[in-house]
Amino acid sequence: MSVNRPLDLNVELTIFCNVKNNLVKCCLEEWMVWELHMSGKKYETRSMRSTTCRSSYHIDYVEFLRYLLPPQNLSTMFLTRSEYDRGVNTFSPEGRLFQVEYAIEAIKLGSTAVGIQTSEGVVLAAEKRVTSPLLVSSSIEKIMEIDKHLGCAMSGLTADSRTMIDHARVAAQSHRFTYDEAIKVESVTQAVCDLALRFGESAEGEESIMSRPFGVALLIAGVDENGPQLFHADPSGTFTQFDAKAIGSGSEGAQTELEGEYHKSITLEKAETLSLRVLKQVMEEKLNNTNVELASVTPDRGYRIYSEDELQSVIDRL
Amino acid sequence: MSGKNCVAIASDKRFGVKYLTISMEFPKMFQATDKTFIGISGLATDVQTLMERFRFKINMYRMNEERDFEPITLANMVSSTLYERRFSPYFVEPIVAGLDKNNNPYINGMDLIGCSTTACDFAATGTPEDQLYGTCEALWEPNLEPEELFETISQTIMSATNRDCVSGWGAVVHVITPERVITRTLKTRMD
Amino acid sequence: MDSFLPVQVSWTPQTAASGSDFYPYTNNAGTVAGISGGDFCVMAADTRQSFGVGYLINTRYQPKMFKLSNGSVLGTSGFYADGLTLIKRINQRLEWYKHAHDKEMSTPALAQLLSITLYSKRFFPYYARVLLGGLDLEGHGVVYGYDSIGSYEPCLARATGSGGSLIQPFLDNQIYRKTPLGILQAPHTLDQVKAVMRDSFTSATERDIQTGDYLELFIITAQGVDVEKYDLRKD
Repeated sequence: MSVNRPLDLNVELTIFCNVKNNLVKCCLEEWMVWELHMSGKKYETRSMRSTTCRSSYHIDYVEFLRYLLPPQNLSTMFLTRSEYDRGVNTFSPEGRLFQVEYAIEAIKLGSTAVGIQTSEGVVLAAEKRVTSPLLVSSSIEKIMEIDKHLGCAMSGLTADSRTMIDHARVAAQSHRFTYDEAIKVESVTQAVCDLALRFGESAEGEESIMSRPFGVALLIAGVDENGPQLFHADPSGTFTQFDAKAIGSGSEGAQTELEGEYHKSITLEKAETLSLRVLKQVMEEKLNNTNVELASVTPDRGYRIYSEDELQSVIDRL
Repeated sequence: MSGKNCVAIASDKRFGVKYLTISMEFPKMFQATDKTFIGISGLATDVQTLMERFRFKINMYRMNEERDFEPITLANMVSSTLYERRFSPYFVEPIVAGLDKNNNPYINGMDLIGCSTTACDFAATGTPEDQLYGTCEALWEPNLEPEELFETISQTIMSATNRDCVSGWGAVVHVITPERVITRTLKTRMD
Repeated sequence: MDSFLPVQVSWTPQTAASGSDFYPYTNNAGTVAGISGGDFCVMAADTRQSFGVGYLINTRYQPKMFKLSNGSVLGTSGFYADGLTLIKRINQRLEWYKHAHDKEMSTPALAQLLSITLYSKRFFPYYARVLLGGLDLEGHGVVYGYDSIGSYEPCLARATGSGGSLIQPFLDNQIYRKTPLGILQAPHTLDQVKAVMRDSFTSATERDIQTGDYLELFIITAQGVDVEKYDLRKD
């Protein structure tokens, strides 16, 4: 006696009822048990089928609830806002997925990361929050390699990015194995975004990998036959291409700065300094060669993360 | 392979057991008469035994008859020698090539029990038989002069044995003309 | 000639119904060859389809080369049904790729895809000898030769199928110009390559009973694929 997915209001579902002494006992969710006396009342069903051991009614779920409960009870039990907050895969009546929106909010707490695309390549820069002088700053990794022609900067719950980067790396290698060629930047971004909505209950044939949306945004930089490109992927699974993009806590200020400073003919060298200058403005600490990371993806050298010395020489140019 | 008043016969030089090469100088052809050669491919012990038996029979024929074998007669002798062992055959496939008394080319290939086929153009036996026939069909043309015939048969045997991993390690070509026999060895891949 | 798979037993609905000696493959044979040039690629195949061990001709005209949506040409010989299935799968993968990556698959990418597609049936292989011809990313002609389970290599000239062993050494001779000194590759014009192809198939038809009837040439250039048809012996 069970009902699947009580929060999917318009889903037609099968309720198995033990009809015994005219008493129907329905367990709609573990914490909700109704007992209903059906004596003398006629219950409409849309379609009906029977099995050997029990009767099953194929009915419209909402209609059934209306039959079971007075209208005011129905709304207090299900339709409060807090209920929609809880379910990761339930739309609110206004058509919002609160958990996904909250996940996007989570990114605004993260450290700032910046990406700039130029005709010579793409630059990624990320702030590292060195919260203690005892912290080994090189152990914080905000920019990672996906493939030799692809890099990725992140902001938010960076632990979540493990799953996504892993998936991106597998997608890139799998593409090489299958087609003997490098995957396109857009395709690898799409592959990452395919993951983003695989939370909550698993759908048929697809395994769910997370119980909640990812709390991380990614800047994916790469070079393919369409030249250097920069993509932004967020927890809703939406991805967008940018000339320059900032994510994280300082993103608003940084984005405004980028919009003011960016121009199509910017060189890679200028983009390096611009990215650090933007980070410098939004960072609380003083920028140095240990609390930021800088990487570039170019047609010639592919993905390359800058050493502390290289970083220092860029800082010196500021 | 036949030409205009000339005929050529060629073989590779390898002797091996499956993929093990034992010798790179293994003769598979011998001169039967002034203008006739016999080439034998197959089980090496049978090749050697038959070469000796044929040599014996050729010498006996020369002494008894006081003349040399005509190629067609020689082919019949080879064929009947093989057929004697109808039910425990020599595992060989010989080719007889030569010029008859009118200096017309004669070529004959046969199976292990002596079923012989006379060819007006070419005959091939051995492990790269497919490759040889394919290449012969494409490269050979009628009435080749001795030097042209040498070039054609050389190209054929080199191309064919290079596509057979148990053939090669050099090749020998005999071009038989009414005046003389031209024998040349070919360098090929040694692998 | 075919030593990779077990000895061929011809299969008919009657033997299948009896269930005693079911054999899932039939050899429909035929020959496919490909030669790549500087800015072109010529693929060739006969059109005879025979049945089982070889004395029966199913049809004299059944093309065994297929133009794919990305402009490459795939030629198959061996078990025709497996060849068709392979073509279907490859075409499907080409379509998926186009939608996923918003571009046509290149011939080298397809070559790798074909390899792993064949290998995915490592223990119940497609009994198909395939050749893939097309142009690479620089526009040079390429021919890829395969075995039934996906081992592959790019080559200048390659022949496979029932007459493959007859044609291959001739192509070596004409295209690779192999000598004891190594490979002296002579440049070839399209007309020379076409002539070599026609000679190859005429020769193979002389000696291979499963090759014949008609010769089809698929000429792949940057402009597209041209098809030419010639007569071969029909006996």
